Parts: sequence; structure tokens; C-alpha cells
Amino acid sequence: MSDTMILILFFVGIFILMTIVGFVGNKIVDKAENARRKRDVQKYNEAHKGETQNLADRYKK
Amino acid sequence: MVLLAVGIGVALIVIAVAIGLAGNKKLVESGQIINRGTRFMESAEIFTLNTPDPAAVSSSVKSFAVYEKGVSMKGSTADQIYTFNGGSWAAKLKMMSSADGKSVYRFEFTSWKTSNGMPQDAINMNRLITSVEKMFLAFDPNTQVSTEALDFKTKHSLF
Repeated sequence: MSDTMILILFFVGIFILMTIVGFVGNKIVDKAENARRKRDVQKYNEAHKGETQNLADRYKK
Repeated sequence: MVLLAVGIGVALIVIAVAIGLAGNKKLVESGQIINRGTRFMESAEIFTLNTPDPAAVSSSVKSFAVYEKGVSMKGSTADQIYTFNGGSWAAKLKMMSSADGKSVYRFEFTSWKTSNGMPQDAINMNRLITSVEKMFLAFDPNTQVSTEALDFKTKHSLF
């Protein structure tokens, strides 16, 4: 096997490895982030339930 | 030499930030947007107002200036449901209920793409929500608004 071939296989291997690690890593990060958000959102919405604001106040200078 | 390169890099970043802030200020002054938190799209807004004429709502929604920026809208006067597509984001305005002279409308961004954690098109998203708010204020200056944090899902792209 030529040196060039070994180099190409090396880079292909790195690419495949990075893709697999990236895919699995993203799944883990997404799952953790979504679970955290779900908890935070429930907490926020329960704490601020029924709170209203006069919309015009946002446009007062 | 390295210091010069770093200096040029910092100067370019400062110039880019200054241009961005000036552009934002211009949009605020012209009333196209208002200053909002960077995560404003993560909450739904629920508007309660004196029941407007559904046809007038449709007519008003159709006249939003944000369509000049590549945003499209599909809507139904009968159902009072309007969906907006900004390319990298989507939003929905829907009438939830109408009784005793009061109507409740809900506006929320249903999806958006981010780059480095920031929405790709926050300015036009702000333009749209500002148009929606101003529309309701025009119908009823005493419109009440409440916010509801959205339980959205994040999906990182592989590349």
C-alpha cells in the first residue's frame, strides 16, 4: 500500500470517527438541553401564571 | 507582527459591532422594532383585547412591512390563523377564543435556526412581532399581554 493511500485512509477514518462522535455527542447534548429547558419552562410558567402587562407600556418612551 | 494582526482583528470586530448597533438603533428610531431581550423568540405572547373585526385583522396582517424582507404569510380570515415563514424561522398567530366582547390571540415562533447560539434572523423576527403588537394596539390601546415560556426542542446539526 502506498503512502498516499495510507494518508487518504487515515483522513477518511478521522472523518468517519468525527462524524460518529459528533452525531452521538449532539444527541446527548440535545437530550440534556431539552430536559433542562422543560424543567425551567414549567418552573417559569408556574411562577408567572396569570401575570399580564399593558402592551402599550412597551412602547412608552 | 502578531500584535498588528491581533490589533487589526480587534479593530474589525469593533467596527462590525458599531455598524450593527447603529443599524439596530436606526430600526428602533423608525419604529420597526423595539429593544427586546436576545431570547424574545423563546416565549409565546398572549394578547387579550376588545374583539376586533376578523376581516380588519386579516387586512392588517396582510399589510405588514416585514414582507418586503422576504417573509411570507398564509392566513385565513375565517379561522383567524396566520402562519409566517422567514426562511430560517416560522411563526404563528392564532385566535384562541372570543367571548363577551374580548378576544385572545396567541403569537409564537414555531421554529428558528441559530448560528453560534444566536438566531440567524433576529431582526426580521423582531420586525414581525413588533408589527403584531402594534396591530393589536391599534385595535385596542388597552390590549393586555402575557408571556409563556415555550418548551421547544433543540436539534444541533451535524456539520
